[in-house]
Amino acid sequence: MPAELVQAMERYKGFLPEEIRLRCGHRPALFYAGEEHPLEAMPINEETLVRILQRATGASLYQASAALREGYYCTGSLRIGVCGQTTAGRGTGFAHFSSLAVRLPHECRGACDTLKKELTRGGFRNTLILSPPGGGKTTALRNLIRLLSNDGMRIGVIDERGELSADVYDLGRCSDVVSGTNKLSGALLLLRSMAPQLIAADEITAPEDIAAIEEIVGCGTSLLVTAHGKNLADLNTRDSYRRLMNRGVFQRAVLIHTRGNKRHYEVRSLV
Amino acid sequence: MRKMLGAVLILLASVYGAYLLLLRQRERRKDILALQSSLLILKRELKERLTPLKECFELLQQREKRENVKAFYQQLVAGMTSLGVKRFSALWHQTVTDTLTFLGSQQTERVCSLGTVLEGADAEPLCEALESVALDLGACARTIEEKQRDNTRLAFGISFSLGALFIIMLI
Repeated sequence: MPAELVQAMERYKGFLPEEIRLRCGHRPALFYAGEEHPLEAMPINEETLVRILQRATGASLYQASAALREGYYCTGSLRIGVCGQTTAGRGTGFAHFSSLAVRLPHECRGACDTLKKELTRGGFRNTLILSPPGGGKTTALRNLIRLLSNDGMRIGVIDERGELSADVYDLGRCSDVVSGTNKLSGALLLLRSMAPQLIAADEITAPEDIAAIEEIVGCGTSLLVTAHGKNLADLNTRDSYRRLMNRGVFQRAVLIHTRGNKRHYEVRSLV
Repeated sequence: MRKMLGAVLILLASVYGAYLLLLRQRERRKDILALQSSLLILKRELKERLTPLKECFELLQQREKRENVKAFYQQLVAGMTSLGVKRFSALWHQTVTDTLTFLGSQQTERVCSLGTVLEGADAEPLCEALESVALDLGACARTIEEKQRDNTRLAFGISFSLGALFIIMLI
């Protein structure tokens, strides 16, 4: 990061910012407590964005290009969302970069203890964690995996982007992680090789992800997955999800509500 | 007797001077060939495994035996921590000019140009550029070798003659 930006961020450390937003022509901003707060720093230009991406990728854009074409790059525990002028050519898929969203991870130990108790009452059932983007789904999923795994449940984690199982995170003693592959291949690999009691995956969005869920259901393995959506009604507007809901794939949903800097978990029965 | 000894010493010194000059050229050629070979390894790593640059530089730094080329990769590895503050092309340019002093100006320019190319997101043009620069370095090494072959006798002859002339002048 440019020294000026690091300096400007120093004083916001205590606010536990969730994201750094960098947009060409605008001052950088920190996202916390549900809104963006501009920093006392010079406006960002494309050169700065390129330097940050070079830092993140170790100046090896050719190696990160497949991920960047999807709009993000994960390095360690950071996830960098990318936006700009797209191009049909090879490479990153971007002719110019205009915005970056650097997601800053926080491990909130203890935040999901009560939620875990609620979800395991009467045995764990297929659960869907639901919140709008940036609402804390991945953090909640990671915490639940760790807690359930430390309770002795064999958990197969499909970590497509390497975001859940980055080095800094502890996923518990009974977690087996398959990363760098799509959800369907990951699920089949876990079912064949690790006999998981529960399969966990982040962001079930694309039709291929839904296909993976349909494949897992009925294999005698529970599911813990996340999806984008403000509420259950949101899900019903999406054909693929409506199909899953109508089939009764999920028995529980966890809705995440953000108030200020705090997150509240609401468990709903879908049966 | 003293004059004889002086004359022999002068002749030996002038021949040794010519030998050092030729040795320097030989070392330079070896450095160029080492750099060429390391660039081809870099190309292979990028093409076959899409290995990140830092890992490539670490690998090359470990396997390289020629001190000057090793220093080049060492400085690159150390400089990778400044990415974000500095652009990769600037780091590459600075490292080339600091460490690859055995290159002629034309070769320096060619190797420097790789910095911008290596920032690219598509591995294919990167590999093409690396191959092209490696070819240039190979041609440069060949030219040095040919010149060396042609000039060995000439260098020894001239230095011997100069030594002899100096002795005559002194006597």
